Amino acid sequence: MIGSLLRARGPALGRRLTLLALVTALVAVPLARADGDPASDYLLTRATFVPPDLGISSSDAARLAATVAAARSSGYPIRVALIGSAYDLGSVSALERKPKQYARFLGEELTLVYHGRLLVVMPNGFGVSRGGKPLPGDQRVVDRLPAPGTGGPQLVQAGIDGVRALAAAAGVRVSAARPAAGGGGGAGALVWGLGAGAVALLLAAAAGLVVVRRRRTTARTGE
Amino acid sequence: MTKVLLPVSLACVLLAAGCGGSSKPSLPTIGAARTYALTDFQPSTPVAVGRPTRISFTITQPNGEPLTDFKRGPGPHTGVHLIIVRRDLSSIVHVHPPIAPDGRISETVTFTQPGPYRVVVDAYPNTTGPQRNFQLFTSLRVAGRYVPKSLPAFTSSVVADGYRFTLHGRPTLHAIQAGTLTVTVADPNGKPAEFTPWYGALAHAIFFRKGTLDYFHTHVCARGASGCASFLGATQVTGSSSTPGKLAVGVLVPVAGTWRLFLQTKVNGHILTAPFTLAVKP
Repeated sequence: MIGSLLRARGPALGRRLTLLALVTALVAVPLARADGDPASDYLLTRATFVPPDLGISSSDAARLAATVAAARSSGYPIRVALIGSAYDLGSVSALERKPKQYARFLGEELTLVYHGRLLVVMPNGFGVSRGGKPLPGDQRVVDRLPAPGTGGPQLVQAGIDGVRALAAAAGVRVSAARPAAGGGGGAGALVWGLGAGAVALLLAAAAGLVVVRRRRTTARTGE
Repeated sequence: MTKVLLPVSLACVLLAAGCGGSSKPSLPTIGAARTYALTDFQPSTPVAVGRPTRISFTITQPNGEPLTDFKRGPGPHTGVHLIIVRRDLSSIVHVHPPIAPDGRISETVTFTQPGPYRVVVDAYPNTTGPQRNFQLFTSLRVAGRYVPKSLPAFTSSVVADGYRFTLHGRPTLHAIQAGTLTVTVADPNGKPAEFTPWYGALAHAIFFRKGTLDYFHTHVCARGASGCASFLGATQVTGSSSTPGKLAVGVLVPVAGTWRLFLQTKVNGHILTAPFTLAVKP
């Protein structure tokens, strides 16, 4: 299929890109699989996990998602999990109030699809990992932040502060996020996160195809 | 540029379809706590040893209504998994009980030992969101004097109903590090066992931690099995079996300690449970 995509031009390429995008959308989401902890289900395809049991407002969830999206667009991709209680950890409730360990555990679970930076926010602190491994330098950055505290709004703000602090430590400025318009309960933020991921995925696919096509053209013409 | 805009616009269409496409700013909405819960769990009093006991319960959705719609189909990620383990990890019950149209879940279990038990309800609601399953916990008591058994030390070979399970190599397991255990199973004649899919998997690896009874569950999947193997994520902790009598069991436990692995499989119509004691280092 990829080969036929590369051979296509003009409208044919457009149609096949559409097909690729549809296949990607249909395949990537419903077949996501991970057992035990809910965040590992969400973060396979989304950039943020906002637990359902904390009463987090849709605008707060959207602010977090917007911050993560802004960081990504500034060249600092990261995924964030807010964990307010043992309930949010599913079968790994043993890691309640252990954000560093859970960041490693969750990162390990996600490694097949995501090797990037992961921030876990719990009421008593933060955890940072990449590919299931701790990131001591980043951990020191978030350890300097105040403990998030209990409550959904506090966790959201801590997540935003954590992302901005980590990005700043890497020389990336992430501007204050505005809540996304619209929304519809907590699902709004989740859809937002999915959208950001989908757009990024499709952009990457399109860019890759364009690059490959140009290289092939260059190779054929000897330019 | 149009080549880039095309997928972007498509993504926007998908987004709009997903959220209803509202463009009006909305006021913050703070919903009530959204959790699933076990309700009317029976029996609520100690049950008798050796007597069939009807266990029943309902799962209440975050909106207060009974959960009646569960994932169905091939593979183990469906319905409700009811796991009951004695506190000393000396015995386990693992069933996938039927679900009545009103959401009532019932199963008859006969307990052979008195004492306290932990009940794990691992449920797979038929929701459209990414969350596949959740766990709910409760306890029950089997009447009689509880004399906890010491957990056996690690042994690489366990015989269950005449079938020998052999764990190859001394496992070196660490918390939060995915690993694989290789297990071979021989029938009473010493021949490699032929596994039959049971509850959607060739084998179920159920882990409980000594003392805290923390729980984790992975599956061993047949090659090409539908609905069993992971497509994305956690594949490294899903086991496999492509050779008769051989199982590769995925392990990923959250904390160090002594863990009991109950490896369950079906061979020649027998449901076999082989327990192993595993030391998991930090």
